[in-house]
Amino acid sequence: MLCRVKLMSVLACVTVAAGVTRFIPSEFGINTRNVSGLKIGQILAGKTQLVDDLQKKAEQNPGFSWTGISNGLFFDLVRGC
Amino acid sequence: MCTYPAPWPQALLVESADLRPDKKKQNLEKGGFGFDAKAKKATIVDSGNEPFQTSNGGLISRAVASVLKHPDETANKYLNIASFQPTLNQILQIVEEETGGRWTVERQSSDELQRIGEEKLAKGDFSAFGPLLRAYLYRDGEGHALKEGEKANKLLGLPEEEDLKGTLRKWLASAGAV
Repeated sequence: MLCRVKLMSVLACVTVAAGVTRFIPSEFGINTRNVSGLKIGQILAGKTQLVDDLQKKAEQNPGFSWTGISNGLFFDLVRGC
Repeated sequence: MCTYPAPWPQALLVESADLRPDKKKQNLEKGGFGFDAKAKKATIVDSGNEPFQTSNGGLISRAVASVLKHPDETANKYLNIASFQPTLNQILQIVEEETGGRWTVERQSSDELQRIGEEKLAKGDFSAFGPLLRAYLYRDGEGHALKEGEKANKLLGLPEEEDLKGTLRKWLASAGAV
């Protein structure tokens, strides 16, 4: 889990440097802004840390922004996807 | 300084299965909600009356497109969307109506799910996610469904609500249950 968090942080850094203007992280589940301190939050720590990181990056880099999308559970996901 | 051979996209959509342990078994077809169309069996947690946030794939794709089309309104925001927020009992009622008969109902307690999840987590077993997620979503009074004002459907130009019955009908038909 730690390696993946670092990978995502590096990715965030690189995308800022490359001039990407909007970063949409792999949320698409339950709202991870609300899960720190919960047991389930431990498993989702990677997601939480990435969004924390993106917030900081956006503050430091006015040309960079992010949007997180929480949709709850997938209901009718196409088979095999 | 490293150079990237292809032009960077203006927007980057990060898809990493590692960061989405919740993707594994959670849609209707994979039985992640606890509804088995072939066996006509439903697993209900606690009273089954807790509304939970859920979205169809189409809505999610449209949400992403909308974010990119409305960059200023969506910058540096965490947005919540939902196709609908049913309860497990509401789903059960619809599927029973559509299939013209009672389904077998098995009950689970959220306390038990929490206990199982925490035991697994303590051993470093991340399959803990399944039971912990079920407890999180369906525990009586847990209150994680989106409240008025928390839904970004309107901001993104999406319908406030999609057709739950229609979605379930399609699923039942594709499972050969109707």
